[in-house]
Amino acid sequence: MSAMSVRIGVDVGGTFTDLFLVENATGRTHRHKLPSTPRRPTEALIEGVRQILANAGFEGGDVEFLGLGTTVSTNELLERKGALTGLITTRGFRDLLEIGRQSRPHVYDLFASKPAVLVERRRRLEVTERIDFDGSVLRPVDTEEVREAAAELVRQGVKSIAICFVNAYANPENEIAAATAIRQGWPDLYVSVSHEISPEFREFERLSSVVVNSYLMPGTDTYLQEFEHQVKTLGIRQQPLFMNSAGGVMAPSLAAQRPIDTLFSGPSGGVSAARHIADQIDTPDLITFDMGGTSTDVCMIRGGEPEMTHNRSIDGVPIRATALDVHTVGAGGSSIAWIDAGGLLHVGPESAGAQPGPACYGRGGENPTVTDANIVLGRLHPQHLLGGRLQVDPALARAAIQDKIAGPKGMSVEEAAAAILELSNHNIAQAVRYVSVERGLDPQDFMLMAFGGAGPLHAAFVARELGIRRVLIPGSPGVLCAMGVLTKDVRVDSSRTRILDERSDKFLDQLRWVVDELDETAERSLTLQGYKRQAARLEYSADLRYVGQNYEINIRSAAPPSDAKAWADMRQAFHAAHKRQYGYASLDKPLQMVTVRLTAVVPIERPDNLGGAAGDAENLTEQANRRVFFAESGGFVSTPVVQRDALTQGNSVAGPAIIEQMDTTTILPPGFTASVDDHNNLIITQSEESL
Amino acid sequence: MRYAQVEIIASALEATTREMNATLVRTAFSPNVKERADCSTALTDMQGRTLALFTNAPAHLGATLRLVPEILKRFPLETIRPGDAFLANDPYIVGVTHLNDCTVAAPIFVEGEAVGFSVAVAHHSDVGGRVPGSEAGDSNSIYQEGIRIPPVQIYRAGERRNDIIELFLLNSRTPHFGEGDLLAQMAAADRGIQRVQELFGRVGTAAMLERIDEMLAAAEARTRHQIRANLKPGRYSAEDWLDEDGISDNPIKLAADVTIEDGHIHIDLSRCGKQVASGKNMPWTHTLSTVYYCLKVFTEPNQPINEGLYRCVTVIAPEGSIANCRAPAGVSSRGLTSMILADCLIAALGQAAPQRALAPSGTYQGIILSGYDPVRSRYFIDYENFSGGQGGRVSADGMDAVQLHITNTSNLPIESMEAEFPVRVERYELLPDTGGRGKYRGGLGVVRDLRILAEDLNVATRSARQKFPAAGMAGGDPGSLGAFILNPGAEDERRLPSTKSEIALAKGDLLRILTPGGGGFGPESERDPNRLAHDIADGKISGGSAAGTRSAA
Repeated sequence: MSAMSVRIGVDVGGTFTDLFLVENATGRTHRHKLPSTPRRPTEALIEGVRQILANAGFEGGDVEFLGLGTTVSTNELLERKGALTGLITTRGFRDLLEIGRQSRPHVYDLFASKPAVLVERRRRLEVTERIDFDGSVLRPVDTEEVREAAAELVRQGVKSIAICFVNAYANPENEIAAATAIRQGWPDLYVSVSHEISPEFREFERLSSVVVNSYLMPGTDTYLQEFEHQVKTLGIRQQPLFMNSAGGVMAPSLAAQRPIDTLFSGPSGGVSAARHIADQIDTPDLITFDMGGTSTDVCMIRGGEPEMTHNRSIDGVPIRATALDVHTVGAGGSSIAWIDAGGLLHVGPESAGAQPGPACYGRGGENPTVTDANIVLGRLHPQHLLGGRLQVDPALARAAIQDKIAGPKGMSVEEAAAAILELSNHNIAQAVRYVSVERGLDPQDFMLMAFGGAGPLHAAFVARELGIRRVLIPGSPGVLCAMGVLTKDVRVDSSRTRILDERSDKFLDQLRWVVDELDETAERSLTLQGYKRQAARLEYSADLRYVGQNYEINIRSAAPPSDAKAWADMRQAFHAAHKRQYGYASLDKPLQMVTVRLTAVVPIERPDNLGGAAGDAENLTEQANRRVFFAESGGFVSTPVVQRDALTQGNSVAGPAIIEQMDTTTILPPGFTASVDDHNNLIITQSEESL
Repeated sequence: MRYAQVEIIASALEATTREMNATLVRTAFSPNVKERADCSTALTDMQGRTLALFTNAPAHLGATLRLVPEILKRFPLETIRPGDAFLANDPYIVGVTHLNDCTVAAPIFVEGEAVGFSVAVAHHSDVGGRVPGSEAGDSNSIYQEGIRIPPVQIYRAGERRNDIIELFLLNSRTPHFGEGDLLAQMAAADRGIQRVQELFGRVGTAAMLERIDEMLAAAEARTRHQIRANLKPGRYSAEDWLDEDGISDNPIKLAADVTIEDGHIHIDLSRCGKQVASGKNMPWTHTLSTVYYCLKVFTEPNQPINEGLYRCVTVIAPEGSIANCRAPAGVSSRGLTSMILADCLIAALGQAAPQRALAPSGTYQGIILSGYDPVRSRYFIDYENFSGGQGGRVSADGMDAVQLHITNTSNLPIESMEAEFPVRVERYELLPDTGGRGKYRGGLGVVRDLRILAEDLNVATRSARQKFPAAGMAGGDPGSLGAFILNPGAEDERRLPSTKSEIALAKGDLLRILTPGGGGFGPESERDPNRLAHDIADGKISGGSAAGTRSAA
């Protein structure tokens, strides 16, 4: 780290772009927020970087690290605006993309349709070739036929071609021959190949993933080139790094080849920040609770590591790539409260979104939302939102709740608002509980870390519902995602399926061959980005199962699994994990290796404390009161309002209280206490008697 | 919890059944529960009213209808203690829908008093009987379908009754799955007990019982409102046919006469055929599950399932009919029968709600391959259902190749199948021209070609719509028929029976499965020319005028 250098993290949201800058020499931090420009994705980004540099008094040349998220690929996929793409596949299987797993999208809604397919049938062509399940070549691919197919697709105007053959995970020979023929014949075409994108078995998910990657490559490449060019015009010499779905960052050169790895990077900044804070405060188990306007993202961090997944989907399209296991719940500040035909109140899943937004925004929204209930009950101050930049009208909130809820239910507006919050907090807690139970975990064993615009408003109530005793609110909950970017390392994930029976004499040799192959793949990805293999820390894991099972458990290992000692340890760990998850282990049953995974991490140097400086304790006395409704107190009570900036290490506040800051409002209900820790986090605890 | 008590109780009970289901799926052993989620979880009160039920398998929608009274008949209330658990599977007694669906029910005690049952139902892979997997369309009575279990006690005050559990497992070809799934069901039931106890603790028993009545009344009012809003009063009828009874070639009639009254639906199934001498009969609660499924389709797909919903519909079917069979009729293959019944109910309800009309669909075609696998040195069973096409909808084409109605299970990945069993998939494609043509065409069926790679394998078949296609609606054409063909194009080509166990296959044989397409909706003359051109460009239909249904070859 050079003394006069700075590091910048950027989080591009649907509404706002947040920036976070830290000075390497002093550790001083700067935040900045400006409206996003979704139609011209690079504009707000570049403008934001220019502004925060100017505000902090630095120049482009001082930037040592620029990390950011991109939702360009995600939006392109959601809006079906990717490139015209063709598919070349094994004869007999071109419809696999449409047939999928043959299940319908909704069990009872027979009018729901499957998502539109990314490559239409006319652009899905077949060639003669076949690999057997064990990798033997039943029929080599006819490259002449491949060239004819490619020529036909080019005639149809495709920009990008996906190649996926049955059983290519077991032997990529035919895929390699086909890809080589196309890359040589049409060097300008974008090509992605299933064994390069996801060399794992279960053909539909691999096919879907390689098609998505092809579909997104041309647009992503264009965007990245334009962005890199603009970064250079700011005088920044370092290459910008992009967040990937797995919680690391990657260079544009790799992102252009694997846009699929950026699809779930949206919430990953917050999770990385949470992981960093978990490490600082020595609390390895926490649940992230990132509540915004339309949805809430939840991720479990266990033993200091976020839970990962390898199978996700967007809009019904399966994506197989390593990603943080972030679960999105359809509940946020804009969730709409409504009464069903039987007279019962519901909150969500419909949302008023950013447009028209809650009724109190005065943008034509007539439906009462969670935010309206918070305004009516005094939890949010109508003039203090976003540091005064967002003014809302409480009369509109009252009117919407009166018309749609209180009137029909025969309740007062306040009671109706209290009912909305009670129910929505309950529903969110149930959703968090479900996420935990699905993973075999109990939320009571975790700390809740709340951020996002609405997280701190609801966190104490949700924690109480879940039996969670401690809640953490970081210093800058509204720009936490941008800060999180600065805590990331360069990360490359590779995987390969090779079903191996441990009873085979050649087991460890075959395993070594797979590990070597993974090492080479990781090295290629690192080299492409300009990093050295020697600089990387390698972490292995493997998906294991008992012979005959059709589901696997992922087991981590520091050493390569082909190492006899490492394998013995992994076996033990598998039995233990199986027992934990399924209640029993079969110690005498042989194991199968299914998929080996390798994570290569190149650490990025960073300052320790990114939490920001604490405030000035002198201001603590200057507090106002306002009337806030708490069910626990039986109605409105005069409640102290504390400015977050005024709180410093060791300060504590007893509920009921409101803690306000530019980017969020924290509610401290009666029976809760908040105090500031060494890292400028607010720690909320529930007093024993109120549990 | 002061201002939204009944709502929170309703939400908590529903969330509890979801949480129980997640526990069951996560801890189960068999792929059937674990991967296909063929299970359900529910909470009842002591009167046996269903308070909440969660399932991805609509066949389970009536799983708790008879359970509680049948338990209490055998185990009087005063003898039941905390830590007890009961097991049952007989469709004629407790009303789960076939012997594979084993129910575990545990009483929930609050302050020394039983307030309800926590229930977990799972489809066990094998419960004995004549054929592996226990299900066969050509079994001639329930005695060929496995062990029949009335409510029996498997836990007494927390202590496991090993004698009963051993008896149960001894009757299964897959006891290792059976035991794991049973324990998973116990774990799910325990989770339910814990959550309900917490809820009673927060609210108090007296208030809780009142709120439950309010919750059920609200669900009932909501459903009745939906019926009034969506379905026009009147009497509507539809008929359809099941190809054969599994033993003879005689077709079976399914008929629904639906009367929409003010906020209520009455369904008369008296015109359905008599019960048959095979496993294709529907026990009463399976018929009700099919009805509840259709009710959700026509009211609110996301409506919670509880007693309130059940109150809005009455059903009659004479005892001894295919829709209400009498013991000891076989029931294991009731699934395909209820697929046709669902089409029939949907056709009738669609007349009352034209904005939700849907033509009949192509049902799945099922096979069970079994035999000795010399490569992996073991006996194997591969159980698969291949989907047909959905019927054309009033506002959209039917979906191609999707599971319908009472089932929504996934296919096994080809790469898993080839790695596990001695078969190779040579083709898995949409079949052009199989959806009935129309303003909105029926969904396409598929062709799946399986090459047999070992000697002396067996295949069992089961199907519907190999004789009677999914009809067109409102002027649409019917969909194509399904078929099982051995060695197509070869000299020894032959069509296999539509329902039969133990058909011998030789190494090198090619088994072709053709699944039926959905019926078309509305006349093709009204089809958007762009959509027609699009289908032709994609080779989903051939050009020219409607050529009728494709023959099954």
